[in-house]
Amino acid sequence: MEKGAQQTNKLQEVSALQFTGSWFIDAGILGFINLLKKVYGWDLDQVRKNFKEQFEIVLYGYFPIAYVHYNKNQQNPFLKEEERPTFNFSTNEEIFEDAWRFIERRYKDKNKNRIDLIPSRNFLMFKNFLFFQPGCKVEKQKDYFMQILSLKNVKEDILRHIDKTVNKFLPSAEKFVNLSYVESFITQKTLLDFHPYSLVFLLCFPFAFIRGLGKENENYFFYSPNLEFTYRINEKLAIFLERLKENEVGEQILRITWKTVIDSAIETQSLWSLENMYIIKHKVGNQQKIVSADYIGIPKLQASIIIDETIRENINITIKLENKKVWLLEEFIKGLPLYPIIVNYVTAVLNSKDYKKLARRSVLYSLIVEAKILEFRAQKEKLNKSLFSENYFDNYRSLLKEIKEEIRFTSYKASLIQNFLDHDEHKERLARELLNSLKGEDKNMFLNILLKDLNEEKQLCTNSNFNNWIFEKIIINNISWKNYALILVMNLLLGRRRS
Amino acid sequence: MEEKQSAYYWQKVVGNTPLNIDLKKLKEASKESFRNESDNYKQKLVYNMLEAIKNNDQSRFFNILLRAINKPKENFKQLWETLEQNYDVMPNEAFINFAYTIVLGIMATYAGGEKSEQ
Repeated sequence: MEKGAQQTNKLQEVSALQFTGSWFIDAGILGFINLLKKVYGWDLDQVRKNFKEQFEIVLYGYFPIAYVHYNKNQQNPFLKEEERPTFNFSTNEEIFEDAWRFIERRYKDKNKNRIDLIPSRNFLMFKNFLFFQPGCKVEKQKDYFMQILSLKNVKEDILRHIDKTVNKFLPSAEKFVNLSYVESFITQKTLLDFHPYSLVFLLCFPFAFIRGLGKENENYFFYSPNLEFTYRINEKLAIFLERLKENEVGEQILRITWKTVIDSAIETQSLWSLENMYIIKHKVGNQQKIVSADYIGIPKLQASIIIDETIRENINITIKLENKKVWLLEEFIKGLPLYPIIVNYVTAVLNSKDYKKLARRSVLYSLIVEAKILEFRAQKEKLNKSLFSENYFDNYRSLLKEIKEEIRFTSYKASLIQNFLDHDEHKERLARELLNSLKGEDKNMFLNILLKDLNEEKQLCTNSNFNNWIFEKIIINNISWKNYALILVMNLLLGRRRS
Repeated sequence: MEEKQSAYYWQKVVGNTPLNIDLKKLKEASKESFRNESDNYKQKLVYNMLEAIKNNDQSRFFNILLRAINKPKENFKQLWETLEQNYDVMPNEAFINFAYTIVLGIMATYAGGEKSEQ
């Protein structure tokens, strides 16, 4: 009774088709879904539905056929509905027998007395693997398939082959900073503990990768611990990456992935899945190997800020510096400081004298967002509270509100300097001096230069909006004064544009 | 309204009492005190103060400041009181905040400006 209940639980677990937390098995699960999608045209929901309702038929019937059919028809793997066999609910073995009869009838090479599987493209890494070996005849091939599907006891030598073939795809734990548990789990027991059909998924893992991109002919796979999210991102990513020119792939891959991730995260509001993400790159050749596994998680703080459309749109801009281009959103989600980039950007605009090009709102948003994060963190430190307190999400909501209010206030108050000084040359000279002091992070120098010129402009000195803003945002602010000071310099240059 | 923590940038413990520089209060005191001086005088004063701050010269700055407010008949009582409560030798970073607060307070009082403080 108890055993029966356990089996039912196990079956429910299996039929739910969920990620396991091991990227390698999960790549296999996604590959399995992709394979069924290519051969039968099922999308994720359909695969899951079929798997849930008739998982024996999917696993022992549809899967072996899909695997062989895809191998023999890699250019156009779709199997028309009328060509597919139908399966009846019976024992697992009988379902497989039906499938195997179909496979033999359709794909057996009578001269060679084997299913002549081709170890190329997605199957390249299985060159010496079980049923791919040229000497492996049809009966032996069937036997190996049954072992993979756990219809027969798995012989240890299967694992030895699997081990030889795929263990080079398992990067060391150091490359996967957040997933220490991927380390050497290749033993029969650990593999099957992960998932009772791990062996099936091992066969499918190449189908998870987007194939042969760029000059290097590398394969890409986006991974997060959430199946829907990973499926969705890889689907979109494949479309984006195909549109790229060969030489663009290397430099654009992270950018495009982030763009896709952010779009999908916003669509599905699944912010929680953003922290454990990887781009896994491998190259197929004589020496199959993992090229890299880049960790691309977006910190929660940054994620919760870019979820706001206005903020995101304003930071989602590529700005031109003297010798390179920088995508602000990328820097932001990497958690890198924006201030040094904006200083260089404003300097570049000043040098080019093309003030019309100054991305006013992007500068304003980047600097205020950063200032508020700095203030938020300083406040947290002061109160000695952990960043992950109970009010974690409330704090973020109030941070977003503060950012927006500050943008409103500062964009008005800092703009008052636009009417300051009559001569363009004077403004430019002042802006340059102020920028130099900002590069040196010299608050004393900044205020000294500013106030000396301001001292001649009584009207602006006595404007309480302006005077108080300088006092609050720069003089008494030791945490984020540079950000506000830089906004002021930008406004000085914007005034230059009007005259 | 919650008081901004950063307004008390510099803090020193005297006996058991923490001594804070409340820069907001200082700015108000500076503004009130110099309201009735002439613009020309104040502009020159600000210029001299800025020179002293630029060189991080605390004694020069206080020399200028104390001479400027050493006028018993005029309205410097509030500023004197604030200074008496707060003044001490400060680390440079705190001095800069302190000194620019006084300067900005003076600059807010120019009569030539069209808008005057409420």
